[in-house]
Amino acid sequence: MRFGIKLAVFLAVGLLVILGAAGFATYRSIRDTLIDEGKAQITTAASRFVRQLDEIEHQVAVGVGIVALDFALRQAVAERDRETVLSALRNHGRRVGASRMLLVETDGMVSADTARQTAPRPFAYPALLERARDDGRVATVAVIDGIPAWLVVGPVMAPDPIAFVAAVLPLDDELLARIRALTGLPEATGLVVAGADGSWRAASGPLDAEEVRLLPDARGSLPMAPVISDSPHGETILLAVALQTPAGSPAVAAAFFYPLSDALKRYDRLILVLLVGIGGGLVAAILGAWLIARGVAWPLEQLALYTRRIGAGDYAPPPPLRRSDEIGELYAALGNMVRAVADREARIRHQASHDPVTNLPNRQALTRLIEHQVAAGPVCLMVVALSRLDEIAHTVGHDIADRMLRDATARLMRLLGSAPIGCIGERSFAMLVAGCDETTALATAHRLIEAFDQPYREGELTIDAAVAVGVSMAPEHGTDADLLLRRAEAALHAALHAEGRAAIYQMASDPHRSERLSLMSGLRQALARGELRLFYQPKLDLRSGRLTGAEALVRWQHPVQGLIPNDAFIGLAEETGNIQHLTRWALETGLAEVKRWRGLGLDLRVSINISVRDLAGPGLCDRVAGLLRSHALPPEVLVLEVTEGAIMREPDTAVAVLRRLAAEGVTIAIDDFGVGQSSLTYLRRLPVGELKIDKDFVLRLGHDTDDQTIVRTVVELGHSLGFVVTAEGVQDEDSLRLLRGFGCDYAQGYLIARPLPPDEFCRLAEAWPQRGTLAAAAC
Amino acid sequence: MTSAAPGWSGMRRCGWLAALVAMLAAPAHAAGIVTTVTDEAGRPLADAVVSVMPDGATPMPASASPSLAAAMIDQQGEMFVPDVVVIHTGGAVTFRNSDRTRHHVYSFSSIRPFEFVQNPNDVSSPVRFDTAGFAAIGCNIHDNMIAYVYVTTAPWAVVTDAAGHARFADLPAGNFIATVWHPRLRPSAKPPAKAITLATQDTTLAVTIPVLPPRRLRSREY
Repeated sequence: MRFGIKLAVFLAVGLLVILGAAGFATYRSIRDTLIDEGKAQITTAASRFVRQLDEIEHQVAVGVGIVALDFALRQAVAERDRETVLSALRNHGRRVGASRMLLVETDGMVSADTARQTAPRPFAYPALLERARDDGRVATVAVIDGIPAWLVVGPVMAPDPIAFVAAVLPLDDELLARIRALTGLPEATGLVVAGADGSWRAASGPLDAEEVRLLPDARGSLPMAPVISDSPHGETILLAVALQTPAGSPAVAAAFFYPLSDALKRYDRLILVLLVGIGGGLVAAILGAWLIARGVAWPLEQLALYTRRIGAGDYAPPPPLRRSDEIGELYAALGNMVRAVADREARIRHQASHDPVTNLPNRQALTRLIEHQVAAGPVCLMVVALSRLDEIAHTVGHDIADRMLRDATARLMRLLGSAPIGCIGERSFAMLVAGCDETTALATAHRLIEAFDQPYREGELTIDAAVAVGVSMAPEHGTDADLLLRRAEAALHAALHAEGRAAIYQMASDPHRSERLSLMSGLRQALARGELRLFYQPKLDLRSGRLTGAEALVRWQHPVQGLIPNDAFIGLAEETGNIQHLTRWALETGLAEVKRWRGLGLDLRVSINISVRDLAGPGLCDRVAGLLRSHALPPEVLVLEVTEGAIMREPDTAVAVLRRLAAEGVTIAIDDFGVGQSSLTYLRRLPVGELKIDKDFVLRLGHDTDDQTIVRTVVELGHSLGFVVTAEGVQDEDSLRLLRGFGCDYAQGYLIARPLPPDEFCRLAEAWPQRGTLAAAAC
Repeated sequence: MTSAAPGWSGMRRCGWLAALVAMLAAPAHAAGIVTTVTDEAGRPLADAVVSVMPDGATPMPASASPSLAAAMIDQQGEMFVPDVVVIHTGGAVTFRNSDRTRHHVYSFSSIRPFEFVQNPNDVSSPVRFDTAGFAAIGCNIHDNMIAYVYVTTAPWAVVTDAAGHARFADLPAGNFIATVWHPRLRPSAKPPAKAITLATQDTTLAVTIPVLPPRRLRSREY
């Protein structure tokens, strides 16, 4: 809800500012209006107050006028009957509400006073007498004994004025209260009287002395228009209205104090309404903002949640959201995207786990299947390979090869039904058959092979597709799917050369066991520690009967594993590049041995096997030349044996190196001749001096006429091409005799001697019986 | 209440004065005086009383002007008519009520206080004034009604007309003092006295006196 909160806060703050500003402006405006209204009110009220004063004054004046016309009073005055005059004045004074009555003679002397008995004294406001005479009577506000009062003076007519009656009505609190009640004036209304020093004092009415002090401005004049002042009771509107006073009387003014709080009383409710309005508006706005924000943020949160689910791989369609806005569109787009992603991922997943050509599960997928099946019980894994598919693809094209592969898939599936099947290589399949032993496995394998008896036909094209089957079985050959696969493939390799083209994995013959990998590090250590030794198998010159040389053969006496067979590490050393170290060591050791032989008087040649990898660069030539030089040996003592397969694989560089070696004087021999696919015409171009016939042709030479034909042909051909010919694997006298009869040059085999440790070989060579005799016989 | 009427000390002075007046009486009937009384603004004043008194050696006549022996004040339309009458001391004033209402005639004057209620169409018995001076006459029922009776010791006295004129005829030659009084004469002011010498020719006399403004009728009370 962070977005929502942001939006809500933004809206709320914005609204607060706007409402606050509007509220403040309204507040100011209403307040100003109310103050102006208050001023107008108080001005109106004040004038009403003064009018009311005048009205009452007039009524009093009328009353006094009537009193003055009382005949008895007139008579008493005319007759100077002072006591009667006084009593009449008191009596009439009560009638008009006067607190005090005076009788003033026409000469301005007070001759009677109801308030006190004194000697005649001048009337304080003689000007009033003149006016009373002229106007019949006069009423005014005057300060009498320090108190503001109405003073009404009327002439006593007889019928001319013979005296004046003066009535005093104090403008006291009670009277003011009555007037205030009639005029609706503020409570703090009263009269103020000017002092001699220009200050003003409260004379009547509920006035606060402190407030009264505020009345005059700096020049001492009273506020004749409403002003606002800070009084002890808060801000107050002040107004004063001067009342007419006769000459000689201190100034009197009506003062009005209207507290602003009273003027703004209505306003309080308005403020409350305003605040409630603003507050309500704000709450509504925040609520609205929150709702809108929620309306925006909620689907976004849902989207975020949903995208997290997508990220986690959950491609379920998005939760339904009926919205026509951008978020709705986003939802729809996301839904489409998820569907597209899900489709694509399914496709990729399928592609990742399936072979593109056959659409069968690939190796990885099959591995999982195998693991699953292995966990369920005994199972046998069959690897089927189409043996000639590369060649077919090169010949007729990949499209046909692919279709052939699919046809093969169909044949296999027809045969195996629902058994799991996968495509584990470009031309090999793997199938799982549950619960079978070796016999049924082999039977199944042969049925598979038979399934391919029918050639593949496409149009006029007919292709024979031979297959081989390798079988591994769980749990006998392991429970690991990968291992099972590798072992089945190893069995397949064996099957390719086996009769019937089906084979079950044999642990003993497996050249690809994993232990071999550790052999390579062991091999390097073995070279350093001297665990490797060269054994020497003598070569017999069939014509002379003499030993003319020996083939150096590596023996690895492992301190823990014992004697390690050459098959176990030579091929691996070739694959891993360690063969060069081995060759180097063999050359050094072999040539050193030749040197030793020479010291013993044995003039023998040594044959050393080299790998095709040794022919990849010029290093071998330099090394051989260097070694010969350092041992002071002629190049004729060294024969380098290389298999024909090796030369066929790396023809150009290999041939270049071999030519250089031959040019140096070193003899090059083709080892294991006859099992490869080399042609004699090709061999003729090589700098080869010797052919070594593979022991496969020699072992059964005594009783196999085919082999006899082959060997004889090879010897003849070799000789005709100028090669010296050696037969390996000579095990019996018949073979030796036949070979001699064929004209073969050298023989090698158990019949002559096993490979021997150097010392034993030396002893054999020194003690060789046909020394000289055989040679002589040959000659 | 105005001040008391001016005192005439000469009244009791000597018998030779009277003899002189008698002696000159015959040849003296030759001249007259026309007096014009105005206020300070120059407006003619009606209802002023101009009294003429022999002065110095001029003798008093044997008898005062007969017109000063008696006067009548009528009451018409709640008014006294005329406003001012002048009589010689010992003269009498008769009041008549020509209205249909009663009147309560009174005077609190020091020279002759009296009061009576007069029914419509009544004629009062004469009210005799023996003391010089003036009396304000009012009606207690109608405050606006006011009249003055001026009582003089002078042998000749006339009330001015609307034009402020007072005419005296057939006065003997000699020296005289003319005195002017008016009801609205300011209380502080002394009635002016003017010396006049008459031979055979008529004389005019202009007198200006300070007066109060006329009383206003306050109708709003009615």
